[in-house]
Amino acid sequence: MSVVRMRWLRIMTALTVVAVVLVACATPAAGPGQPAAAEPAAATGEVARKDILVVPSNVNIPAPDIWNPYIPGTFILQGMNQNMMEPLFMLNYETGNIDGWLAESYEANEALDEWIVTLRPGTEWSDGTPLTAEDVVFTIELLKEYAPQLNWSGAVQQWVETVEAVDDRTIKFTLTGANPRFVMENLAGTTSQAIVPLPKHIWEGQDPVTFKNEYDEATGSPVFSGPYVVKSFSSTEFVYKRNDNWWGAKSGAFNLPAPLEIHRPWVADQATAQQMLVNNESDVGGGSSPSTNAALQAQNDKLIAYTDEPPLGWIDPCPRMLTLNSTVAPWDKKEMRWALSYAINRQQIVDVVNEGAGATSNFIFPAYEALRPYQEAINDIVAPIGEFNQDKSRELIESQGYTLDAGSGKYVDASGNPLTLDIVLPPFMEPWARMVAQQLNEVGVDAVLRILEWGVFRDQTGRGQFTAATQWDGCGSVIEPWFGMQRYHKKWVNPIGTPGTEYVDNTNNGGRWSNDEYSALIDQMGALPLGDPQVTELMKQAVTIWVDELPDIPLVQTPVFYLWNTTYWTNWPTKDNNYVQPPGHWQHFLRQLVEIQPAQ
Amino acid sequence: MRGVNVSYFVRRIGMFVLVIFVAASFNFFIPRLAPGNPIGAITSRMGQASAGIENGQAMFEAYRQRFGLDDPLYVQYLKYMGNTLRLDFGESLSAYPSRVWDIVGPAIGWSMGLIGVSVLLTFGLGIIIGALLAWKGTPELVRALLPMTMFGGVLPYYLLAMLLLYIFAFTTRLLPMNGAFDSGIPKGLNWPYISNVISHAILPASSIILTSVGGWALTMRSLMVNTIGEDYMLLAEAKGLHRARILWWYAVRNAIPPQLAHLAIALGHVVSGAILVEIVFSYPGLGYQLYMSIVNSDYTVIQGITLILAVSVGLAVLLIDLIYPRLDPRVTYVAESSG
Repeated sequence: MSVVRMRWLRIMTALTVVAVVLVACATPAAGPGQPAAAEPAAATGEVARKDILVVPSNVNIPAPDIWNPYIPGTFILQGMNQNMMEPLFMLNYETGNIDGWLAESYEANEALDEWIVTLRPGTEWSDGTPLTAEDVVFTIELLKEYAPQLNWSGAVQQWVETVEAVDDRTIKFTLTGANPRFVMENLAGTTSQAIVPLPKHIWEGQDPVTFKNEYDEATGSPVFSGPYVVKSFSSTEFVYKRNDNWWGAKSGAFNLPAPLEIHRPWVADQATAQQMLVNNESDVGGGSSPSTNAALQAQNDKLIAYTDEPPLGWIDPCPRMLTLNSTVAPWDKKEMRWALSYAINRQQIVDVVNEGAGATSNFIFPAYEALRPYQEAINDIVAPIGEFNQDKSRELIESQGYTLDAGSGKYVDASGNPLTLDIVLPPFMEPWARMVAQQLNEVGVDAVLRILEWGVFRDQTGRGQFTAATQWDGCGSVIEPWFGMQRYHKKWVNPIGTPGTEYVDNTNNGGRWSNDEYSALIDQMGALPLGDPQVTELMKQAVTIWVDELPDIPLVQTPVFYLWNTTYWTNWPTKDNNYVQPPGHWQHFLRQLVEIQPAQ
Repeated sequence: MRGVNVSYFVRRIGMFVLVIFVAASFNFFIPRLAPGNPIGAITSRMGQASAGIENGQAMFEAYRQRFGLDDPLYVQYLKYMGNTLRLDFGESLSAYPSRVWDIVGPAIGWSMGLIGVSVLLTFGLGIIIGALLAWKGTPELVRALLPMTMFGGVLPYYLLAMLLLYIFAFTTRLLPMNGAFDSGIPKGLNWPYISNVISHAILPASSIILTSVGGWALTMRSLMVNTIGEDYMLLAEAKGLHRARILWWYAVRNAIPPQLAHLAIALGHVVSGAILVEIVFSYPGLGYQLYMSIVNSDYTVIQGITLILAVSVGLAVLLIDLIYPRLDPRVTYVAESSG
């Protein structure tokens, strides 16, 4: 037989084999909403689907075997942050309390420069070694020694003079100065993560800048103290198994989490992730709007939302803002910033972009219960920010020498140059930004959008190389006003072209607004203990200056539309059962793990 | 080697080396001309993880120094070329301290498996369909049905992928939605794992095959039309050879060589993957890693992947160039001697 014919026969044979395999590999159909049929049990080995918690992730991790949380840029949201590492404390947005986790209590001296932290009894690492005050001291000293190369090292270097183990359970922090928020900001974490202890017996002698803390089945590495340990991993999926010997359950501090395993598959496409939820192939997810959630719930009545009533979603701690670069003319004039604020119809954004969910925003605070007293104290001061008044907007623009060009319908300066506003934004901010640009164009500002990839957006806004940006520069306050407000302190202003100081995805004072009086008031607030009555008065004075100058333009509160699947797991943190904030990628997810219950 | 002499061989290899050198140089400079910077991307991801970054500028400088990004550009270039010669692409900037090979290595396997097989299947199907479309003896029913294979060509990969997902994964749940294999399945050279991998590859592979088979078939049909008009075809018919033999042995065989050159280039591109398909199906191939490295301004990973792409395309073209005289005896690079 000829060579060519032989080749063709091979190709045809291969095609036939593939066709047969295609048919053979097809699995039986099951309707949406029905429990995922036989395939998960077969796919997951010995553990049944009902004992597995499936949490899809939209992040592919190219180098999955790095378990060092302190190397800058290391991904920790693959489960390391939520299942494995444990903080000393946990800031609970719902109650406004700083709950103990590894630690049971803290206290400060009167000068607020010495803090004593006491660990719970019986804390252990996942390999059974006791977790003691020595481990905490080791971690803090490691961060201090390797500053500025490690995450959190800047804060430790700035604030911690010395740290010592008083006994196995007691740690004494001596600070470089008074800091009433030392525990809350660093050991509890105001948002998704806090400083977590590292096991000294593993990390001692390692270079923490290069140490990967790789997986090793024999030794149980990576060793942390959380209720789950690594079972398997790849760039597309992480599987964790429960540590039945977890200290938290043994000591009686917490329930042993019910899921035997947690699977975190990478699902790049949001529609696929949503359909997995409908098909009971995952337990946590959500839509991008109330209507998406409703559509998903219509397909599977086991899906529950955070709330079915206004604001129709959980309010994220970071309200959306239109940030103006205060160093760029004409936006360096407060009149021009106010003109933009008056031109924005925030209620329309809520109605159209958020489909009626969430609420308008007239300052940097999220609508949280713990912040309500502070928000109420400044309601009168910030009220003008919520005003939609195109006439006032035009009046202010014209007061700065601009005239409306009848032909284009846009304002021009004395030289005939149009009044333009270049707004940069990352892709996911487009719906809000597009409506803002439309509203600004209506009053005669030639606002255009420039969508940038996230890394580029971050870089340009951080360096101050932008005119306007839609982002969330003011967030940070969740139970008290100081943290978010201090982000507008003049100390954060760096020269244009120099990266700024970051917090939660954005830059402190990215708009580079500098005000001596405001900064002095912030300094005074910062020195007072949490809950001190003087804080409110100082806050009101600072807010008055902020509102007058309007360095950042608040837009709307940010609703997040969580959906949970109750086919296999119940007792999710809904609005009526708000034992902790609901994000699934934060460290607070540990609390959800010990609370959720099997449905079957 | 028939049709190739030493002089041509040496010149061709020299050209290959030159192409790779130029590609490697572009590979170094182009990412650095783009906006964004790798260290900024790192601190950005720290922000996403909500790690405290009180010392942004100091950290920025420390890592610029660690990665050698504070060196003058020519020093960086010389270091890069030296390392490239040793196939050492260094450490990833965004997944530090992992090395580039730690990221690229696993992804190459998935891309070659999925895209490579898809391209070969597309090639085979395109040849058959194109040949049958041009062949007069093809039954009318088959001739009427075959153009339907062109329909996929009007849809972009992404859209067809979504359509396939909706029908076969969302609605009927016949095939898996995403990933390269099922959650938690033990990996190994055993049938459960292999069949699982194949079942996960069906939808992404189908979206590639269905959207590109039409192009191959159309080209093949054109080549066949030319071939069928050749004298040797008339002679074969006159000799009374079986029609199937005339089709496959005389017509298709002679029409294939130009397609092989195209196939070589297509296979060379395999390593770049099919980015959108990989995203839709959450497939862990090289295309997605290339996309992410560009987003993260991860110079070293970009350099690694694009250099592999340049080398693989260059190598594939080189090989097909050198073996072409073997495939098609009408082609020779050796000058005929006069007299």
